[in-house]
Amino acid sequence: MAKVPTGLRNVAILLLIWEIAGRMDLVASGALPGFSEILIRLWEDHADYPRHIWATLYASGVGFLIGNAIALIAGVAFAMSPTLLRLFRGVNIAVFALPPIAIAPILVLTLSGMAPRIVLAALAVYFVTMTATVIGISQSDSRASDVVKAYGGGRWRVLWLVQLRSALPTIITGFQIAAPNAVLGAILAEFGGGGRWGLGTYLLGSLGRGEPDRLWGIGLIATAIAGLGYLFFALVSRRLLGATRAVTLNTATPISAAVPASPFKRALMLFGIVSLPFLLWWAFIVLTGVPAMIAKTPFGVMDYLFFAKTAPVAQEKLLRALSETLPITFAGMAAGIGFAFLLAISTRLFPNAIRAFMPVALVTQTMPLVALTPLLVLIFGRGTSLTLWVTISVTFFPAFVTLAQGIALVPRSAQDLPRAYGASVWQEMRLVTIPASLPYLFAATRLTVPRALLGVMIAEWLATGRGLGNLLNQSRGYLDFGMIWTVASVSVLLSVILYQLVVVIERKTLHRLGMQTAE
Amino acid sequence: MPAPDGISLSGVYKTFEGRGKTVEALHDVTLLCPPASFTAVIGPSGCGKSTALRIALGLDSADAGDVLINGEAPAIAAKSGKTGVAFQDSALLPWRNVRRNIEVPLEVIGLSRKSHAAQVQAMIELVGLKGFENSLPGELSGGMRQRVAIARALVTKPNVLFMDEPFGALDQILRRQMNVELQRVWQETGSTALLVTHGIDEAVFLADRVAVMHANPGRIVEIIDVPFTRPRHPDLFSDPAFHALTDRIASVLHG
Amino acid sequence: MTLRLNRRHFLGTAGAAAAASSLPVRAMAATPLTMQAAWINDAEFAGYFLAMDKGYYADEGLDLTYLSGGPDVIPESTIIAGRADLALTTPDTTIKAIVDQGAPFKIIGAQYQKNPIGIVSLVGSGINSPADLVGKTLAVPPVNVISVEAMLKLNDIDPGDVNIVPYAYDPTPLIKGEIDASLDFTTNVPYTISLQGVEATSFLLYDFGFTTYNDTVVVTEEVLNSKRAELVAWLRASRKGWIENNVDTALWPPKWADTHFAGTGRTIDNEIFFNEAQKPLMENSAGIFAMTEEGIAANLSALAEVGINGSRDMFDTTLLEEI
Repeated sequence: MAKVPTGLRNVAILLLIWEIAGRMDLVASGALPGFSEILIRLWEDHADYPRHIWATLYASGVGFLIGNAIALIAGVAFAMSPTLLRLFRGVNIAVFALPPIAIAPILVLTLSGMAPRIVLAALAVYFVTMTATVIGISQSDSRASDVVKAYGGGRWRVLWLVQLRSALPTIITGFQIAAPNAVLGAILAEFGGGGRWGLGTYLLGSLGRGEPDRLWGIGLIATAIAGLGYLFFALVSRRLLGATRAVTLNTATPISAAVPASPFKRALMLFGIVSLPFLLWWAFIVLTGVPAMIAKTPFGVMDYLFFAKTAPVAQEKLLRALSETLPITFAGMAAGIGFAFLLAISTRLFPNAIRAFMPVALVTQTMPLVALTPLLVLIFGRGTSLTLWVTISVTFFPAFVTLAQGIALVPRSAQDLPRAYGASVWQEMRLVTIPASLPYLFAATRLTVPRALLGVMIAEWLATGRGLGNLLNQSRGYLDFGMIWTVASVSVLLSVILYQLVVVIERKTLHRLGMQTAE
Repeated sequence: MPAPDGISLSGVYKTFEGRGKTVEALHDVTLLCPPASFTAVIGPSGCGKSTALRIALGLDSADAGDVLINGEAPAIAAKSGKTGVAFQDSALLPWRNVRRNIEVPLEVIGLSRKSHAAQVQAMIELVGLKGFENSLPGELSGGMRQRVAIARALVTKPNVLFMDEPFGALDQILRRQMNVELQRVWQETGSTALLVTHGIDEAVFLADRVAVMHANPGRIVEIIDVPFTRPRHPDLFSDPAFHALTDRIASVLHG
Repeated sequence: MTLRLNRRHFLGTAGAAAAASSLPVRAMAATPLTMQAAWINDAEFAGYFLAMDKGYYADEGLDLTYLSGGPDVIPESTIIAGRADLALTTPDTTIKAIVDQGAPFKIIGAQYQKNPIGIVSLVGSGINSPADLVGKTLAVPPVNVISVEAMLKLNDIDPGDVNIVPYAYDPTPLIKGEIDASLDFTTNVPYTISLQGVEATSFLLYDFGFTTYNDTVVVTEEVLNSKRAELVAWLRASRKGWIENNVDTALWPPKWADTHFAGTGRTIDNEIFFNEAQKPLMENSAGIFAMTEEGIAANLSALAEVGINGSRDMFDTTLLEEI
């Protein structure tokens, strides 16, 4: 009994349930086909796939390489210079928070051919790898660095001999998470970007045929590619690094933070942080050389929104869309975090049930949502509950991983203490586990905020026809280029503001409780 | 070549700014180590003994006072390869094998690894790790890793050898073995040694002089000479005179 | 290493695709011309594929590059950006862009005399005219919402009485009864739905007062001035392609199974149905692409109903005269 790997057994049970539900048309009057039906369809369509898969692999592969190259250089630069890191904070948060669905149309407007796909894939990997590089380098063994410094080695020497190599495991973990991101980014751009080849294009061509088995087949292939990318780097990391982890814990304490600069310097820095993303945006427009009518600079958007003769109409549309999108975003955020939290706590209470659920959760993360949404519409209709479910499905996974990690890190002895006095599992949770994982709850919230907006916008775009997502889509139809740029920039700005809000609350709360923020 | 001057710290002050708190880590610390002598610095944690060593190595700078290594500024001495260093808990690079770890100082100073291959091999043999040249740190025991760290400290044939609790992570039995080995190795090289430790018996066994420090502010309260002849043997650990001296140091330490 | 291999392979396939789609440059020093289609490759563009394959563009001295479209591709933006010389567009968005944003567009031809978009529903639903839509859920691609609202107004129906939801070009919700009707190409979707074993019916917006063209041929004023001869040549070659295609609508789509239609996820039977269904929508006694004075006036008046106030000078019929 114990010899059968539980993971494998659970997957088998799930596939069986899927098969039965699909064959008997139990889910959404048959919109979920049986697993075998999907496989049969895949076989029937197999001649179509190679070129689509190649195109997707090409775009995501090139995007992965470019994005990671930039991320590595940036990560090293940021690790070497805290000033630079602070200066680029605005840019980094913007890249992290930008909803791909808002950026895709802009990329398609300004770039041509494979470029939008590659850029979106690169954007999807940048933040993960950059963060991994900075963390990896700054957490490298200070004792080993001291040895190099003690022989007169400068910071580059330390970087070369110690830090880069010791950051490698963290960086490869970054690659691991980045690989599926690149695939999803490329597919999203393909879905809307024209061109003939790519899984996104194929999905689009197949959408109009009302054949769920085909859509699921494409989704499964996309999932498989994303999953293989993840597995590949998992293997690399195991093969390469197994024997070379640090053997002892570094007990040396890092030297305390830098002395705060003068108010003038801080104001200058703040100005730099805020203006840099806009500067890069402006430079992007100038460098691509796209006419001003379709490519708007920050000034162009300002003009459209405040000074042009159509400004009042634009403002009214935007405000109405925002008033529809914002409340549901907050609700979706709360729902996503709540779901992740319940799930994370359940890992302690019912570990087996959760382990069985994980494969499904993983698939939902790599399945292109555009393929899933028609099914979700059939199950949930087009109301608020659909938006909430779409939002939950895009938000809960990273939040869950973070929370589960936090809960797993609660020291056993701390948990045992209340138990020794006869406390129930719930009492123990309330007294120890939940408060102790508070920093991770905040970290999870930070991850969730931008994704919640993304989920809401996807639902609005594909199903409910309201809010920012719909406004964006409609503006494309009306050739309202000013509005396309406005919605894109407003949604990025909104993400950044929400993210920053969480950061501020997090710092205040954790500082008061004497806790450290978790990364 | 001028005669080596050993290590000299005179009137060194160092203050750290914490979160709203100011810690005076070193207060008027003066310590002169003659050439080829072995000096141990002992004190409670937080007394500034590691800070003193980091300043002597050029890793930190002093707020006031003079620090000279062989008559040169610490950073210059470090770059010229005149200093060797072993930190608490080996601090090896986990992805490099024994030989490549020992070669790190050569690479930093810019010496050719090829022309020093014999020297590296000699160091490996000196610390008794022949046959383990290609092992990774993860495959070695704690004592062996510490021997690699000692070999690495000696590979540049330093005039001055700094050690910051090099055996702090080892158990008592292993530690005594390593003490005996360190004495042998040090005597062969004839360098000036400065050992920071919190083990009184280790300090007395190895050193010619023991500097006792107190905390808040970090300062040297007394320098005690150790008269035992060299080479010292492990049975010294059970000698009554040895115990008398460790008791005296303990009383200064806690006084 | 792997990347280089991927890249070479990719370029190889892309090259093959390009070679297949824009056939040989027969004439020496053919003039390059780029067209942006309105959608992914399907029978909607059969005439162009045929003209490409039979070398009609090359005969006219054109080296034609054909760019496929998709839902995020705004054909008009491709010509503003200068990545294409001409684009196939929907007249409402084009004219709105000229009016609202001063876009320098001219419409030089119209592929569909009657816009093929219409309301598709299942036979049993009883939706046969705009009036039947009241109280129903209608899925409309956001791009077309203004057209639908215009058609409703023209038939004295308050658009607020119809529950309009976004349409993602997937007929599944219609088949499953989640929506009552959808706006789509009537030349295409009824066939797809019949494959699922359900009968679909449809009516054109055109037949209920929204009298617009579709797949209008649009250029910028700059291109019109600098490449006039090439545009006329393109119209001539394209018309030749369409005429030949419309002779036997079942003849050509199977030939493109491995070229233009490869990997679109659609069947050849579907394309044949489409090709036949669109034929009557393109016919005009003045020839393919014709824009008669009555037709232009009908377009302008229909658009005026949605508040898009275009004018005659946005249409340039002189190129058609030169064919």
